[in-house]
Order: sequence, then C-alpha cells, then structure tokens
Amino acid sequence: MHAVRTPRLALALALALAGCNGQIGEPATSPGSGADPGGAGPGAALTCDDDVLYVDGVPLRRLSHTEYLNSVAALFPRSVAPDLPTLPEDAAVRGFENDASALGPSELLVDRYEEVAFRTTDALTADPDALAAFLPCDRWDTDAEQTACGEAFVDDFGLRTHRRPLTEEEQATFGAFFEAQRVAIDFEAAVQLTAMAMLQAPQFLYRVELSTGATDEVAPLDAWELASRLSFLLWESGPDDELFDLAAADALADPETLEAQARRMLDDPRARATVVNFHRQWLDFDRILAEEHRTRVDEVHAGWDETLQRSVREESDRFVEHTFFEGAGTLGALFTSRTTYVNGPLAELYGVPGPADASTWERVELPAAERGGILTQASFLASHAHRANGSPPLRGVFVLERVLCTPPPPPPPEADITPPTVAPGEAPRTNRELFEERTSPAGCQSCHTVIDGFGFPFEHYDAAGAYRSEDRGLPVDATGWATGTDFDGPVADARELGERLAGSEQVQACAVENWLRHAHGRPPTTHEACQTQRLRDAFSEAGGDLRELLVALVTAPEFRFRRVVEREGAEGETE
Amino acid sequence: MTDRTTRFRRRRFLTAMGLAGGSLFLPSLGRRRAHLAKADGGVPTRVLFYITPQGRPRQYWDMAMPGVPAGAAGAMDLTARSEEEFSPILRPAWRHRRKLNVIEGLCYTTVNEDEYLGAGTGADINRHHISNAGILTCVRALQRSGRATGGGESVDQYIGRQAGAPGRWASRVYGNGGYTFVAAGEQTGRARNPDQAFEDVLGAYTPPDEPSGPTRAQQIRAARGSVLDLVADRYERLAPQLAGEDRGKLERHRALIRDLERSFVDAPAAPGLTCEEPMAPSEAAHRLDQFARVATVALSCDMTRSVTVVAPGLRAEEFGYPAGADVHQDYAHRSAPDDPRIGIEAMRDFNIFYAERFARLLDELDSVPEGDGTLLDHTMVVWLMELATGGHQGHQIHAVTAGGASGFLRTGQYLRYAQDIHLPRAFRGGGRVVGPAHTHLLVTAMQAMGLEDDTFGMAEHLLFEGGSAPIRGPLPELLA
Repeated sequence: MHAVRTPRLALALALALAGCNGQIGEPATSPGSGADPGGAGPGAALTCDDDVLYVDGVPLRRLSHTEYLNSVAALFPRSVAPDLPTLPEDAAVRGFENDASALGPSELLVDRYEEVAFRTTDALTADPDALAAFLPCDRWDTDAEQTACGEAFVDDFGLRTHRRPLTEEEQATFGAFFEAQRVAIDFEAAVQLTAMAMLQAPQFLYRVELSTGATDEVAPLDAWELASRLSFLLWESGPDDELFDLAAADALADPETLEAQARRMLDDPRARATVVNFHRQWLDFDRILAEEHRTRVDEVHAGWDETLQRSVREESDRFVEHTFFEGAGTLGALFTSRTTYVNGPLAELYGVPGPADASTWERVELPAAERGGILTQASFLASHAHRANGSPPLRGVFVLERVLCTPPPPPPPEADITPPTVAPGEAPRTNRELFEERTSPAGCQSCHTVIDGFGFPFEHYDAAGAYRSEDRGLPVDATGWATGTDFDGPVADARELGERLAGSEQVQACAVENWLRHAHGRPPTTHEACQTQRLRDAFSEAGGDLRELLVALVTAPEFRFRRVVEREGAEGETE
Repeated sequence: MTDRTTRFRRRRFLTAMGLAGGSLFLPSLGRRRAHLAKADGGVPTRVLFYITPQGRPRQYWDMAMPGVPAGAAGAMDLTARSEEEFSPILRPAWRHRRKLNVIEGLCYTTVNEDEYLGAGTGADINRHHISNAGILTCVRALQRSGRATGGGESVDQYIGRQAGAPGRWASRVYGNGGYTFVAAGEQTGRARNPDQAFEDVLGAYTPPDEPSGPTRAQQIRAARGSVLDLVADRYERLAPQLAGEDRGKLERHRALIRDLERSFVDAPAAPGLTCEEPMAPSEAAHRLDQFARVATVALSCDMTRSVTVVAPGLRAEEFGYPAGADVHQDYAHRSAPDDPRIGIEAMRDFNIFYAERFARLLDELDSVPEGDGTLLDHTMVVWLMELATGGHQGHQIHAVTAGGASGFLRTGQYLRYAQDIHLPRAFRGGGRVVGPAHTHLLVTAMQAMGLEDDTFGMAEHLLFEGGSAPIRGPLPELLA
C-alpha cells in the first residue's frame, strides 16, 4: 500500500534527502490556476521513494474540440451525422489543444454547443431507425410506454453524458423535464430536448472529478472518474460500455484489470487516432498547411503544389500510425524507420516507385542512403523552410524545442530573420554558408552554436524536402553537432542525427513529458518528477515501446489519485 | 425592405419588453455617461475594432500638413483635402473623410513595456506575438509554455460585457486568431468563416408565427430556452462544489448560458433602428467585405454593440504581386524605412488593399439610415495595425477612427502627436522617444460607449529617466 502525499506534505521530507531531483516540468500549480511559467524550471529536489507518491492537482478541463466531437459522435448511431457548425478555434499551448488553461467558455462556443446539440438530436429524432437504435426501449406507443421509456432513456443517456450514474436529484430533474416536454409537444421532442440538455451539462462538457470518497489532502478517483481518465487519455472520447460495466462493478482500481483494459483499448482504432493526434500536436504536423508553404520557388522541386502540400501532411499521419501500430512500435522507430506511405506526387518527390496518381497510397521503403525517420520526411523539412531554401535555424530550433524539450530562448526582436540570399553578381554560395555568415556575429553565436548543430544536418534536403547532393552546384555539407544532450558530439547528417535521437534517453524523457502534458491538460510539474522518472525508466526498459509507456502511465498509482483543493470557507470539504 | 416589425428570436434587445430590469446579468447602467441618454432617438452607440496585420511604410501613409513643421505636433482639417492630397494608403478612405480621424504618432506603450521587462528573461518577446497579445489587452502578455498570449480581458470584450444585455450578443469577433481574449490565456471564440458568421445572423432571424398557431418546429425552438434554463441550473449546482478558477470557469459558462437562454425570447426591434431582413454577403466578395456585411447586419439590428474584425493575412496575388510570394518574409521583413530591398512598394500596396476593404466597411455602415444619420454616425470604428513598420516597431503607430459615436467624437481631423515621452527600451541603451500610449484611444472608445473608466489595463508606464507616468484618460482632441 502506498502512502500518498501531496507536494505540500512531502516536500519537507524530500528536501532533506537525496534522490532523483525533479528537473522536468514546471512548478506546481493550483488546479485551474492557469499558471504556466513556461519551460523547465529549476524544480525542487524530490526523493523518490517507492512507498511515497507525489500527487499534484489537475485542473477542471473543458473537453478539447477533438474530445467533444468524438464524445458526441459516440453517443449516437452512425447514421446520425448532420452538418455541424465550426467550433471556434482554441489556442494551442506548446502545440497541444487540450491545455486546461486555454480552454474556457466563450459566448460563441456556448452558442455552438447549443447548435450542435440541436442539430444532432434533430437528426436523431427525424430518423425512426436511428431513434429505435438509440433508445433503450422497444416500444413507445402508449402514454405508459412513453413514460417508462423516458425514464429508461434519462438513466441511460444520463450515464453516458455524465459518465457516471445520475444522482437521484438529477434523475428527478431530467425526468420531470422529459415528461413536461412529452406532454407539451410529443415523445420525440422530449427525447430531443432532454438529450440537448444533457449534451450541454457541465458534466459532459467538462471533466469533473469530485471524488466523493475523498479524505485528507488527496483523494482516490472513484471508478467512474478513473474510467473517464483512461478513456480520454487513450481514446480522446468518453468510456464505452465495457468500461462503464467495470466502473459499476468498482473493478477498475485493480491494477491488473486496469492494465488489461488499457491493452484492450490500445488495440482499438480509437487509440490509433489518439496516437496520431498526439504526434500531430507534439510534432506540429499542421505547420505544413500554412499559407507560406503553399508554393515553392521554381528552382525547388518543380512538382510542389497544393496537392503535394496536402499529401505531405497526410504522409505524417500514415507514417505515425504504421510505425506505432504495425511497425516496431517504438519511439526510436519514429526517428529511424524508412517505411512510409506515398502517393504519386510524394513518390516523385522521394524518387521511389509508387502509384501514378495522388489518390492512391502505397507502402514503400525510402532509400537507405537518403532517408530515415520522420525528420527526413517532407512534412518536417518543407514546413521548416522558406520558399527557396531550407532553414537550418528553424529546423534546429524544432529539434531542440519539440524533440529534446530544451527550447532555446527566442531571438531578439530586431534580429534579421529573413532568409539570406546571394547578392546579384556574387559567386554562388551554399545555403549553409549563407546562414553561417548571417549568424556569425558573437551576439548570435551564443544560441546558434547550439541551434545550428541540429539544423545543418538537414542540408541534404531542399525547401520541398527533396534530397540533394549539391546546393547551387556546390557540394552539400550536412555535418552538424549535438550540444547539451546525452549524445553530444559530431553528427554526419540527418540520418545519423535520427539514430542518435532514437537512442537518446533525453528524447524518451521529452516524449514522457509530452504524454503527461496530454494526459493532465497542463505541463508536468516539478512535484511529478518522481512519476516522470519512473515512466522514463519503464519506457527505457521497454525499449521505447509506446504501448508499454501508455500502460505504465495509466497503471501508475498517481493516475488513480488527485489532489484536493479546499474551497474558501469550506474547510475539510473536497473539490 | 425595411421592416420595423421584424422580430428576432435570438439575441434581441429586450429592454422594450421590460425583461432587462432586475436581471443579474445587466451591466451597471450607472456607469454609463450622460451623453448616451441624449443619443439620437434612442439609437444605441456601437464600437467596431478593425485589426490588420503587419505594419506600413510611413512614406506612403503619412500626409503632408501644410503649416505644421515636419515632425511637429499639429492638427489638420481633413475635410478640405482633395483626394490627391490624401496619402496613397489612406486615399481609398477619402470619400469618408468627414467622418474620419487619422491619427499619427501613438505608441503601443504597454507592449513596449512588455518587451522591455521580458527581454533577457527567456520570455517570448517576438513582436508579432506580444502585439497580438497586448494591443487590445494593454497588460503584459501571459507567458505560457514559451509563448506569449493575452494576459487579460481585451477591451472589446470588456466593452461588450458592459454594453451587453439579455438577448444581445455581448460581442462578435470575426476573422483570424489572437488579439481578443475573454480572460488571461483564453482567446475569444470567433467565426473565422463569413458563411458561419452569416449563419449566426440567420439564426437570429425568425419569421413571424403562422396565423394558425406555432408549428411543432416552432414549439421545439421555443423550448430550447427551457433547455438552457435547465442547463444553467446544472452549472449553478455544480460550481459551488469547485474552487478557484475551476469554479470561475463554470460561473462564466453559466452566465453565458443564461444570456443565450434569454435570446430565445421574441422581442420587437429596438426603437429607432432600421433592421433589414438579413441579406447574405456576396460570395464573390473578398472575405473582409463579407465580414463587413455581416458586421453591419449584426450592428444595425442591435444583435451586438461590440464587433471586432481581425483581418486575415493576404496572399501576394490578392494585392497584385506574384502568386506564392511570402508576404511576411519577402515583403514585410524587407520594408524598413532604409531598406533598399523590394518590400516597401509591396507593403504600400498591401496596406492600400486593406484601406480599400476598410472603406467598403464604412460604405456598409454609412448605408444604413438610423435616426437623423446613419449607423456609421452611431458607431466608433477603430482601425489598428499589428505593428508600426515592416521592421516590427511598436512606436509611431498610426490609427484611424471612423464614425461619430452618436456625437461623442469630433471627426474630419488629421492629428499628429508630439513625440516627447521617453521610454526605456529593450536591448539598446538610450531609450526611445515616443508619442502617447494607444491606450488613450481605447479609453476614448470605452467612453464613447458610455463607460466612465479612464484607464484600461496598465494604468501607468515606466519612464526612461526613472519612475513612471500615468496612462489615463481619452485623447481629448477626439472629443466633440
């Protein structure tokens, strides 16, 4: 049995003892405080003792748009698919769209939620077959049948939208509302309007953890809350029937059951979508869709157009899904695998045999001498390029910030960040030479000596991501160097950099940090350093197997607890 | 067709029905200035913020001021200027000169201070980012995971809340991201697409009931208000069980649902307004012109009194340059005043394009008769740019206002402000000599809308020589 400590209790002990020190993450925040000092802080030294757990707060989270739309879709038969209004875009935080501090209510969003609820339930009740599949009853011909069916519907849909059984008060409230609308209008209208109310309830739109059994400063999640944590982490959607059944039987707290469920869920297509969506955000796949990447200058790969731009974007999703679910399944493979999917335009870009058209995709092996891993694919390369040239600083900063979780400081506002070019009449120079000159002043070098070491290895790839041996008729120099890592030293080119990243525990730690960010809706805090360390160890021991990392994350004791925050004037009560 | 009996199911001004009285969510009417009480036949005053990206080359924006020494402060009567005397960028708005104020020489003082205090701390002080975060919030940016974002509620949202009323949208935001925030780190929801924006307006329009009584569909529509009543009750029950900002979020959500609930009640149009049956914007029109149309409908029908249009960036071909050119890198970054490269002419034409769109917006607003004037006469339109120049400076900011705000504003002026305030400056010694903070312009807009506040966001700023100076009050030259 673990003793569970909140940071406040555990720190005094921790400061007096040696042990792993929490360098990952950010200082503790109050739930919902929105504070995010940004980047890795110095952290407090924690002692990681197997018998003591550190649990930090998790803020109330409004569902991200992905979570919301997945959850809504899961509640209705597939045939219910009305056109829905666009939801107002949420701000991403370090790429992630589920950061609680950015997800509040706004006037337009509340309006949209109402409209989505209306259109979805309107489509449901207009389709008798869909309604029959949706309702937990067979007949609703007579008054008595309608009333009975209404009660069953309130219980059933209430469970699915609240992600726990309704309380007696809720049953009575929604039940009375249903009956009033049934009498005033008709049965179908009552279904529609009651479902609309549940779809806008805070228990549906937010992830509410009240933990009715809370004692002391920490509280174990109840079975329903645990089912939701599990489901939103692995599926970005609400729990399914099996999870609800286990929650009802209070069986999820058993670690073996939890692990079995996690493995079952990881075999489900919803987990594939989640893993792809996680990497989309972590590795900024959508950057290639920006307006500035719609075109390339003529001298760069002539086939670059909007079709290729979209194809390059799609390749990233296909590559991630294959790598983690059909390929090696490891983080390392993300940075080394040459197995990917191409359509016609992409095959031409990569110089490999492939389909003739843009709508057919085939699995291929990219040339070993030229490519290996996601950082040698066109999406990363072209989205970190200008129209004419690749950008070593943009590429290097990406590796530091996203892959190593060591973001360099931003450039001073008056730094010249336009792409350097050769002056008219000047002898040709390589892109690398131009950037070396641009960043040669001492004031630039303090950062660029690190950044460029990670950026220059990509010089074999032009602004479209096409491979090149020469740049403006001059041989390419793609040598670089790694600084401030667990693999410091010279790097021959991007393929070697990929191999180094694949073997780096620092990269694994960065992936762990990002998965925790995704799981908690905020960056990991310094107080979670011990959990982070244990996950890093588990990830490393599993050879970087993502499935094992996710299983370790959800079966970690910290996953089953939350910190309790007292309300003003309500001492001893829980959130 | 003008139809004064047109009724709106959603977001209508309900004062006429007496529903506003006693509402917990009514703004404090006591904070409104007396001039509103004297407004034209009860026609409300509105505000519209218009934000365009990048900066502008001064040589194509500034106008000559006969009799005023170069660089000196002064005022000029715009109404007497010929079209040719207008600068190339401002020329498209010449036809509205009697209703304009062109302002030269303000400073994004609060953004400058954010940069100064953030420099060397690891904070994100990219000028695009801090301008985006700060020009409508006037507070230091929130630094979150290495990126600057809005550090507080923006002025359009603040005004919207104050001017809000049951049945009316507190505000609408159209276009791109950033600039407007409902709270620190929480961007205001907005319609990025004109079709969606117009759908909102259509949703607000309900034809009169059938003589034979409400149809089933109308019954269901009417019951949507009851649904929201039930939903709001759920938030009211849950919020007290949470703490801190978690609780605050649910309380804000509850208030927004209550407001939406009231919008489902029919109400007659507000007196004195000419509210036409919504007409869709032309599909062939530029996106900004489509937003202008939607904004005009929303304001003319009093669906809201605060609109912000965040203009999307342009493709080079939209303003006559080679398709595929990167406006930011190829032009904006190459348009510093002394830059011999190609960007200056391009950024002139880039801004002329936006000025044309701005003038079209004013055409729309000025085409709606209201009281003794037009919608434009009852509105204060504020055009701000993201940055001052292609070099990303945040001082020597220029702005334009349009409309009289129901007689609150004096118009037809070209104003140049003295550059005599010495601010500290990041990275370089010597500080920077600038004009008044643009916050004064935002305070002017707040007061035009009847608020009594005389500050917004940071109420003072640091001085180069030490100490600080207040940022308080409107720009007096703008007041009637």
